[in-house]
Amino acid sequence: MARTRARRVVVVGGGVAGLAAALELCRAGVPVDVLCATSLRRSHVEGSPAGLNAALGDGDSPREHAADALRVGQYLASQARVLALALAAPELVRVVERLGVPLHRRADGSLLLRRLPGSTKPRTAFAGAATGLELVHALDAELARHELEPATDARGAKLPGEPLARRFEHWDLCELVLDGDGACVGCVAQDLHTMDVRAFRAEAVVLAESGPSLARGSASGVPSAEHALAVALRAGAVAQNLELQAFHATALRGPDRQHVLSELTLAEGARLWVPLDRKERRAPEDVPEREREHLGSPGELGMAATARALVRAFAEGRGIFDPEREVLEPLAWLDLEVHKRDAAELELRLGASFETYRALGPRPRTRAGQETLPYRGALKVGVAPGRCLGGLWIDFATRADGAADPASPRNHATTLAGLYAAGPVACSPHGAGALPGDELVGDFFGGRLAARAAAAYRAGSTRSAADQPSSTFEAPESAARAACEKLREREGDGEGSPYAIADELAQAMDAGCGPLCDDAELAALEATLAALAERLEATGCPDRASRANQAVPFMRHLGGALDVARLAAAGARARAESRGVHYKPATPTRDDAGWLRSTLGRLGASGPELVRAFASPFAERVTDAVDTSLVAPEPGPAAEPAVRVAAPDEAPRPAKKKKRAAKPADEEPSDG
Amino acid sequence: MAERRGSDKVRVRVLRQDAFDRKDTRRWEEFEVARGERATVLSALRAIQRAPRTVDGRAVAPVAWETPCLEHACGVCTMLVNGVVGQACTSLLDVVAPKGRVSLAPLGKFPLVRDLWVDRQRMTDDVKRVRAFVGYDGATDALRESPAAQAERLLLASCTSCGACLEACPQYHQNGAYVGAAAINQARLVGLHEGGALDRGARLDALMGDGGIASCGKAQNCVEVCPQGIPLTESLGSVARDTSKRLLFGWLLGARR
Ligand code: SF4
Repeated sequence: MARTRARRVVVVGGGVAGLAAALELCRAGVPVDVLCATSLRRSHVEGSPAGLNAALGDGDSPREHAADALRVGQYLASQARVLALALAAPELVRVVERLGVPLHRRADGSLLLRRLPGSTKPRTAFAGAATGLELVHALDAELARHELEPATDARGAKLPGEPLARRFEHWDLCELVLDGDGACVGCVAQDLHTMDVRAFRAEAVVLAESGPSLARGSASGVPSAEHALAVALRAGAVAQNLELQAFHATALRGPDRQHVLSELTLAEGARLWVPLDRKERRAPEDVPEREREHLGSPGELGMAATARALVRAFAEGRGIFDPEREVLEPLAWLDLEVHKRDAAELELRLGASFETYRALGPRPRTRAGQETLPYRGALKVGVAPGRCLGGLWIDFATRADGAADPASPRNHATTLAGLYAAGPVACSPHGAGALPGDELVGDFFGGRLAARAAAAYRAGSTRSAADQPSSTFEAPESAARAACEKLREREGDGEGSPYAIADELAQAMDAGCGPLCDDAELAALEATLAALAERLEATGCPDRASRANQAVPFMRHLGGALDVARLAAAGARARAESRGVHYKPATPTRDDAGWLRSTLGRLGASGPELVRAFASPFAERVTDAVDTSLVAPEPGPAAEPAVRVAAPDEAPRPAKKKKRAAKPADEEPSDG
Repeated sequence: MAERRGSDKVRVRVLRQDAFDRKDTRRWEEFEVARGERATVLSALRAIQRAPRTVDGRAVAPVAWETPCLEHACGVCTMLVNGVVGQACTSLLDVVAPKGRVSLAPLGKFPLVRDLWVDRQRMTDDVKRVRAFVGYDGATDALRESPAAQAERLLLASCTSCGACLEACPQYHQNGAYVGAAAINQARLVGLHEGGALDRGARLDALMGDGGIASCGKAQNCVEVCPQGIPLTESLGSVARDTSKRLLFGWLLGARR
């Protein structure tokens, strides 16, 4: 067991939410252990290119920010959380600035705000194209400072040799430790270097790991993936809205993964189109305007609708023809023709987005065959999964007047007493879609709020993990150790490796649970996932090493990912409507009468199950109802066109003279 | 076509070792992987992970390496590719193995975890040593900064702690005192920020101490290898100037601090 005399809180995950939580605890004088399956500076799945939204601009207000967010979330949001976030965001951006994140400036030295799709005002502060990464670096350095400070005991006396913050990098969560009453009093984790398994005593545990990613094949390299989510589900926690999965329409296909260029390119004036001719052999710049189908701008509903347009176009037989292999690929041209803009300025704003691409991609070429900067050519892009809007169900406290109560131990509390969640592992406040730029500021906010709640819980709790007999920890510790050993020594029947199962999982989710879903396909997907879970049980461990064995955590995570994927598929099948990121051609409009509610899922005795209500530590009965008391839902968008499957030899339809589908360039820089 | 590209197979030689204290297990193993379109060293390692069998047909343990992001953002897949520092995720096989052969070895200046996986813990320790943190004090009032100053900080802040600069530095050693270019660059970055300017004295003192700026031998290798293009020699020079100023006038400032 990890030794400590301080009454510590454990934070699992070292991304923005986890580090924000850890720093908030340190500021409150609460000793903290931060566990992270990678090293702390690496815990970010994406660089969060969009930036941080806050109503800081002239004529903007938190109310307008919240109204935009609720519209984009199609009213499935937690309105109290969205409003609290919008109100807190301006100050949070000031904190980010004070932490040293180099946010872009106007000539007068004030913050440069840009307007992103879905926002009615320019309100996104940003640092290059990787604001999230910059924030993680800044927070990490601050945590290092607190590692040099001593922890204190309840009476304020310094505990020699015990730093206020301790970091456990390359420690992977195995299990939560629950006391006799089911309250979370710690966790068990494994050191990925030595493979030691240890229990950590904790007054409260804050989970701040990533959301579904291995289950979506979006970042299969991330060692921890959605594991904390799966561990909490196994301990009895409830998940919410796991079917609400965002998709990007601007992913560059790299050799090893898809690289999301993000909505930024579109916000900067790029356009997305496919040739009308399914055997188009000409270079993109030679295809005249009238022979192109524009897939539209991200528009009001963010990228989801654009991703769907691309999927639909491909189903209708349009994409990019690969003349070498004679196949049509589910890709579109992202046209970055933005000559009018200052190239250096664009480089500043988008440069980091293109870094990988510059290293790996085929350069766009001009007609003369010269390589160009990415800003002038056309790039092949496709659809890739983005962030899941669902996650662990968390509580939120509001005062009588409806405002948030930041001092309450209820905020971000999961269904298990003493277990908190923030960041992508928790259900996002946003509902069925999020404004680009809200996620990052939301993670920062959520981490701080969860930390304050955990500190309040610690202060108010009559029992302490320190009073627990050591047997409370020893039993789960040795059980987890035995499970790790068993996994390492497992002999398989030779049928497939866990890596092959992971690839199949990603493909199955891609085919059955993509931007357009269909009930029959979802039912088939659920069967496939159950079969994969069974196969994984019978798969041997490809590595026997007793130290730095990467196969053991991988297999553990994959099992969890399959649970999460099954709940996501079940939720998608249940939600018989289309709303925000969720779209079913069979039920193409929003159904507020039937589905202005969440899906709630948990792992029952016989596998994943959906429920309508459950009990939480702070409320006897929580239902799937959605609060719309602050802002009444406006009508949803009209049904999108159905897929019109063309006969294979059908001639291309001549394009009607269209108004330019996308006009982001006009919408944009009120910031200049 | 296949001939012009060399071969469609690539032989990957990997320097392996089971654990940091198992020098006896140090060995080269050779694998063969397909040269896919735009395949990288990372693609090769993933192929080996899926079917870990050497060219002489032995089934072996998968090669261990650290790879969280797969897209040139995190810096941890930095290793020696043909003896030169490089990142697995951006090293195209067509570039590093034009003749169908490539060798991979772990960085040599960090404690080995296993195979190509090294422990960069020391980089965090050195950030603490030179006190390269802002020391956020809870203030929430707005800051002002010129776009030029912001652009400068943004570039310095793009360090991923990949360790390439340390690997290439003749003065930096695993058990030596010198903190190296990355930590010194971080210290300069913090000093350029209004909040960080507050703790300046303590930071400069730390940088003037053992293993600080005076250990830099001005070989300039760091700036050549930094994948982020950070002007490291500029950072080293700037910190050197600040520390000499403090050496000369520090007693004056010391009276006030
Ligand atoms: S300064 Fe450059 S080379 Fe050195 S660790 Fe940072 S990114 Fe790597």
